[in-house]
Amino acid sequence: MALHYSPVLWNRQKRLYDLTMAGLMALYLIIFCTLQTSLFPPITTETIVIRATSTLAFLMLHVILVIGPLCRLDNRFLPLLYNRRHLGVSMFIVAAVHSVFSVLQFHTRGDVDPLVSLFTSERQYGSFGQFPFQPLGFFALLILFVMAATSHDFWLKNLSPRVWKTLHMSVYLAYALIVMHVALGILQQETSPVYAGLMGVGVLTVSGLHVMAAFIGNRRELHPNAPATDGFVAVCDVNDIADNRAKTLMVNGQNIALFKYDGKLSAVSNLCRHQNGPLGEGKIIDGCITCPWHGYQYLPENGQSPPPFTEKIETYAVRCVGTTVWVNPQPYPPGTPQTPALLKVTTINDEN
Amino acid sequence: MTPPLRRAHRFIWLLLVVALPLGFLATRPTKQSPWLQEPVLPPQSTAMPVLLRTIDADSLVLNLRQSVRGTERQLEILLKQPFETPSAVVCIRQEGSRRAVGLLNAPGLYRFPLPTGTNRPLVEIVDDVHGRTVKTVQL
Repeated sequence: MALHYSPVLWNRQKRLYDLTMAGLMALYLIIFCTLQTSLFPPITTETIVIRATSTLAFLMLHVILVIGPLCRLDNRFLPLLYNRRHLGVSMFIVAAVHSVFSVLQFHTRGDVDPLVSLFTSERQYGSFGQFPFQPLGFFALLILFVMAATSHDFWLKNLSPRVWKTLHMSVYLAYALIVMHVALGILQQETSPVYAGLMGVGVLTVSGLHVMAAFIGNRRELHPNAPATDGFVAVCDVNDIADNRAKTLMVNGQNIALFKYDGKLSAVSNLCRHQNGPLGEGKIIDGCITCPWHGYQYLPENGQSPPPFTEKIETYAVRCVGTTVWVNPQPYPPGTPQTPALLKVTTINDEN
Repeated sequence: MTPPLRRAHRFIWLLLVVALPLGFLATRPTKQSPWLQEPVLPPQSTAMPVLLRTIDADSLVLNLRQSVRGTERQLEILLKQPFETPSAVVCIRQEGSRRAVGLLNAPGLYRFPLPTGTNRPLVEIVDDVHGRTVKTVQL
């Protein structure tokens, strides 16, 4: 939650996250450069930088891409998601260093403009197997630049979470371009199958985890299809929900998180106002629904962030009849208070 | 994520899980064979004593030489002026096969050992960078 924008809202977790990330990056670069220098003594500094940054950026991109599905499959990975944006921006910087050194090394020593040279030094645009690999890397970097430049909450707020998220899903296109950049570039010259094998494992891991998370996540959601009674739909048994946790529902196109806490039930939109994070995968902390992605909080009774914060989400009416939970999928405007359903045996007639 | 974005996400990854491995594999069969550097021998410093043939071809004078016993042959090239190409590789074409024997750089005298059995070689000066033959001389 934020009352105003500041470049970075630091806290202990973010510092720890960034320090760990910077430490691992430095460790990788040191080990890689040492190995390169000892295994290939005539190698130049520029070549070492190009190789080290390319492999590091590619590895970081894989890590970034597996964090999302891992978090959907297992909550224990959620701390990795917390500051993923810094990981993304760091990866862009590493990739940019790789690009700058590559252009300097391979395209600035001729009599042709470096950018023109990048697009014209290989001309087999008509061949799939020998398609020029450098323009693919250029366009991938362009996408990563747009993403890094708009990674701040300022852009998230002004573009709206839906547009921002759509824009940032272009990382998948960037990933596809980079995979082909590597396959058509260095892997064309490498005779060892180890490198091709490693990339194959990376591609299959990333895409496999995403597909798996998409289907398992979809299965976890409740899709009640019983006819509505008085506008309410029976969604689950009250014992299906753990204390201070939620079930996520998809009813009439509404993405709802149904929380059980303090002997009560409340339903709110499953979409966090910040980045459309899955509130139903979070939990109740200090009486507030807490988004698992970045810790934004809402009161379950009214969908409002506790003062002084101002975010609000849609709320839904809930009933508990016997042990069956009923939800009215008609959303109330964001921040509308709803009386929580009490966990006691009642009937619809009693309530009417 | 909103349900439409989640659906889009699922669609994208179903597409990528098929397209990426296919794209990756498609680059494999057409993979260029690794660059094999042909062993270009350094120019020899001394001329073999027997001159078999000589041809003056504008900027070049080519001599085919052999040893006294006739077992070894040598191509001697006098380069009068440099080629206007970034590379000039001397190749010998004989009986359908082409083999690089050396490089020409600054004007001067170059002597290259020839493969055993070279009799009437076709000498080609090739610009390897642009992939074209600059000059062809039948010795």
